[in-house]
Amino acid sequence: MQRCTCCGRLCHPPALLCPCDHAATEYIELSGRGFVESWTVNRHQWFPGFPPPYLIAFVNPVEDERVRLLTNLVNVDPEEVTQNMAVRVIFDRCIDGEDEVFIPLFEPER
Amino acid sequence: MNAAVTDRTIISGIGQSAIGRRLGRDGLELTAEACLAAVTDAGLTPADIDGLTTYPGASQPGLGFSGASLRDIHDALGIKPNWVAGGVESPGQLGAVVDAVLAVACGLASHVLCWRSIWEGTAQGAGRRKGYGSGGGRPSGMMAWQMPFGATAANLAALQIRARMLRYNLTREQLASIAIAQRAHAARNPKAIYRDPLDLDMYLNARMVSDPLCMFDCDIACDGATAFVISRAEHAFGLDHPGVTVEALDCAHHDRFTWEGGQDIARISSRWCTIWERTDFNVADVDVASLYDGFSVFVLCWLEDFGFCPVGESGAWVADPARISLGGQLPINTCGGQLSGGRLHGFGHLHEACLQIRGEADARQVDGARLAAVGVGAANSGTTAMLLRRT
Repeated sequence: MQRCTCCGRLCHPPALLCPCDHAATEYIELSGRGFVESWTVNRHQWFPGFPPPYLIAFVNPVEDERVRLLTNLVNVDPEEVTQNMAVRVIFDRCIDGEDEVFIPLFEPER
Repeated sequence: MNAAVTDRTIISGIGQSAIGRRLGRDGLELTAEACLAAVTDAGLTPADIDGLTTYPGASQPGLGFSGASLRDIHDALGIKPNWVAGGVESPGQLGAVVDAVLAVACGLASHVLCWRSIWEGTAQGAGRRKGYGSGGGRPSGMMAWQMPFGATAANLAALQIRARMLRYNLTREQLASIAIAQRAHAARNPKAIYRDPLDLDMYLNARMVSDPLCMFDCDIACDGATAFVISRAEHAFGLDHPGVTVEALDCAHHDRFTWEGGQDIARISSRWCTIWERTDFNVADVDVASLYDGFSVFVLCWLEDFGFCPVGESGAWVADPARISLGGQLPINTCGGQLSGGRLHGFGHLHEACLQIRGEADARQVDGARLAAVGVGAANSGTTAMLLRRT
């Protein structure tokens, strides 16, 4: 994620300048650990390749709980999800022609 | 503060096309129907119109998201404008109306025709439904952070509901009041799409779209167009009905235009209420409210944003649907809103508020409605708040 070079806040989605103090941002490596801020069990098929049900959540990184990442919770039963549940990132590698993307998903910290 | 601007203008005419779940009619034809109705209502002819403005214009985020572009109507009605503006990057859908008010107040035009049309019902019917951003390839911008997770606006609204449940003890029973009260209002509106009664049991047993958001929390894709004419204030004397004055206007945006990037996901993230600094009225003076309900939870956010109740207390505030129903303390979305009336995308909210202020809301008229609050837009979009009174 991006971090402000001045105030140290994380910034997501990425921005040219920190929305807080307008200073430059830089990408830093995070621990990959976070907490569940909110979640929903999607039960409607919106897109091909996304058969319901699946879990969508906001996760706050432990480094700065003021920011959040929209993501999917995986390897967890919907009934087991709780507020502030500790989670850890796993990356889903997606290939589309020449394009390679690593999608950050989260599973419970074990 | 901005009275100098709003006192120079009135909403002189309002118009609305037929509205239906799937009318199968051409988007331009529907739009022209609404536009001509508004021009006639204002006591004018198309030759009198010297300004045009619309949201979202020719931009097409999804099928049927816009029924007619600015140039379509310019051509179709033979308008000779001195000023035009159309587009999606504005303070929400009503940004087009704000533009019209400013243009008239500043003397760029005398009578501005302003519309929003939508024909998602027909465009997305029968196997054509696609949803947004489904064009293929790597998504960009805001979609880059939603599409890979199979997330839509409905899921984000569900995350907002859950956040309110966790932090403010919002319950599904409380949230149900919005859909139930609005459905009862729709029964009094012949143009509303869903008019059958809705009770708490039906709500609690409804199909979940994205738990805890159920089908009754979602608005209804439809076909329909709504139009207004904004005129110089002195035109009020030429009308055969009361003019409507925009008493105060508030387009403040002090946070990011994203769902997840704002400071607080429980709020309409980008909004920042400044409306009470711009009027001598106060919140207790409001008789009726039109609050954006793309999803039911947005109504809760708007109640708090206007200050009808403290932040976090909107759930308890609406727990008894009677408070927000006709005859109650603050009737909300008296035409049925978008949940029962159809997704006219904010322009329906302003249309209904104008009817109430003019005393023309028939079976759903709020007795002695003198001041109406209108709040349109949500979450990642821009927003506009307005107060309306009789001219």
